[in-house]
Amino acid sequence: MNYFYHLATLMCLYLLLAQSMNMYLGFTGILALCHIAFYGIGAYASALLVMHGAPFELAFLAAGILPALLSILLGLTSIRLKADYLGIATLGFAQIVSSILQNWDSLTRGALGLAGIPKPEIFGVTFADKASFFYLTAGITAVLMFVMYRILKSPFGRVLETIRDDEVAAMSLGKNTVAYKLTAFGIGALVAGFAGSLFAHFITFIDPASFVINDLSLILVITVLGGLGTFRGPFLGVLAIMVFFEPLRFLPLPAEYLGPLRLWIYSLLFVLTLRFVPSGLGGLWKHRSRRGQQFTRY
Amino acid sequence: MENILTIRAAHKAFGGLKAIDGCSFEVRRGSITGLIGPNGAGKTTAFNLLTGLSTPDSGTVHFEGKDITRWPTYKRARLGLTRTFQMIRIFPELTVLDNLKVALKDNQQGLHQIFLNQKKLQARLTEEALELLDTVNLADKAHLFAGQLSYGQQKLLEILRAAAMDPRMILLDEPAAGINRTALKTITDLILHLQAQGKTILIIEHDMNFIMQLCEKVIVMDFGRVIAEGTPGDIQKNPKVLEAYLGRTAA
Repeated sequence: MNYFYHLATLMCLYLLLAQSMNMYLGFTGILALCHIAFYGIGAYASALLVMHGAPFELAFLAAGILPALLSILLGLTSIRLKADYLGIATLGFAQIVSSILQNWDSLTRGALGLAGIPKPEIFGVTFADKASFFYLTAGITAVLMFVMYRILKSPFGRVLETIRDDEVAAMSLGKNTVAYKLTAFGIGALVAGFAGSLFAHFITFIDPASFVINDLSLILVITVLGGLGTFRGPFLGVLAIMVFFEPLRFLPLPAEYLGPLRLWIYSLLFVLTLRFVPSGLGGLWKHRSRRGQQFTRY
Repeated sequence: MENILTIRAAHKAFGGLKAIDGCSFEVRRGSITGLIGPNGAGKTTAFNLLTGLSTPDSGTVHFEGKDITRWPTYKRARLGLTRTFQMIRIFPELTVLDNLKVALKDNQQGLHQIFLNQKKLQARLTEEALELLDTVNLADKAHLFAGQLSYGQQKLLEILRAAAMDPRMILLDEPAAGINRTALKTITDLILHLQAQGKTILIIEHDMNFIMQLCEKVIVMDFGRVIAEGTPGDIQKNPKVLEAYLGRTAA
C-alpha cells in the first residue's frame, strides 16, 4: 500500500511540474529548458530553511518565490531571444544552477547532498508516513492546479495563447507581450519551486544529481506526450508514463541497464510524439471535439 | 488637429541598404490614404517604423500630436495605432471568435482578474464579436479555428480583428492581394464602413483600381522616400510616377 502512496505522490509532483512547464512552453510558446533548475532551487531552498530551523510553511513559500524571482531576472535578460536561442540560454542557466548546487559545499554540502530533511510540520501536524504525505501533496496539488486552470482559461490565458500563435500580432493589438511572458514564466517557476519543496521533504534526501538534464527529459516527455497547450495534457501524460513505464522498474534487469533503458525509451517516445502526434494525446481530443461542435448563436 | 500621423525625415538602413532614406509624409485625420510604389520601395519598412516593429536611425514619428518614435508597439496600439500584415498574422489555434475577443477593448486580461466572475462581461464580448463577424458574413464560422478559414476569410478576419480594438487609425498592408472579386467587395465595404466610424486608414496596395477607387490621397514611394503625392487623378498623370511605377509595370 505504501508503494501506491509513494507512486501517487510522485504523480502529483510530476503533474505540477508538467503543468507549470506547460504554462510557459505549451500555452505561451516560451522554449525554456530550465524547469529542472527551478525544481532544484525550490527543493534546496526548502530543505535548507527547515534544516536551519525555519517553519515548513515559510520554507514552502520561499521555495516557490525564490525560483520565481530568479526566473524573472533570467527572463529580463533573455526572454526577448528567439525560440532556439532562448532554449540554449536557459539550458545554460540550468547547468549553472546544477554547478552551484554541486560546488557550493559550505551551503549545499556539494555532491554529498542533504540528508535527513525533516518531514513537514504544519500547524503542529506532522506528515511523516506515506499516506498522510500523499494527502498533503494531493491537497496542495489540487489547489495549485485549480489556480493554474483559472489562469489558463481566463482572458489572461487567452492572451498567452495569442503570444504563442503570433507575438508580433499580439503586440500590434496592444498586448505588452514581454510582461505577459515574464508573468507566465514566473508562475511556471513558482509552481516548480513548490513541487521541489514537496519533493525534498518527501524523499528526505536530495543531491545535485536529482536535478540534472536527465530529469528534465521526463518532465518534457510528459508535457509533450500529454499535449502542449492543453490543460488536460499533463494529466494524460503523467498517467501514460506512470501506467506504462513504471512497471519497467520490475524488469529483471540490473540497475545499470534499467536507468539508461528508461531514458532511452523516454527519448524515443519524445521523438515519436513530435513526429506523429505533435499535439499530443490531449491535442487529438481537442481538435476532434472542437471540429464537431455545432455553432448555435441563440 | 488636421493630421493624425506624421513621419519626418526618417532614415533606416539595413547594413548598406538604405530601406528608408529621408521619408516624410503625413496622413489627414479621417481619410483613406494610399501608399504605393514599386517592390522594394520601402513601404512595409515605413509601416514597421510607424508601428514600432523597428525604430528609425534618424527622423521622427508623431501620432495624435505625440512623439512616438521610440515607443514600443503595444503602447502605440493602445494609443490607437494598429495594423495588419502582408503575410497574414491571425492566431491560427484560437477560434475565430477568440481572435476577435482578445482584441476587444473592454476585455479584462490582467492576472489579478482571473478570479473575477466574468460571465456577463464575456457574454457581452461574445455578442460584440459576433456582430462584427456578421458585418462580413463570417458569423457561422465563429467556432472554427482561425487556421481553418480560407485565405480570403483569414485576411478579412485580420482586418476585423484590428477594427475590434476600436483604434483611431489602421494601417493595412496589401489587404487586396490574392483576393477574389467577391471578397474584394467585402473588404472595400469594410474599409468604407471603418472610415464612416471616423477611423483613419492608410493602405499599401498594388491593385491600382482598388487604390484609385478608395483613396482620397495617394503617396508614392521609391528608393525609400516619397516621390509624389496627390489625388488619384494627379498621380495617374504624374510623369515621375509613370516612370518609377506604372511605367515599369506597363513595360
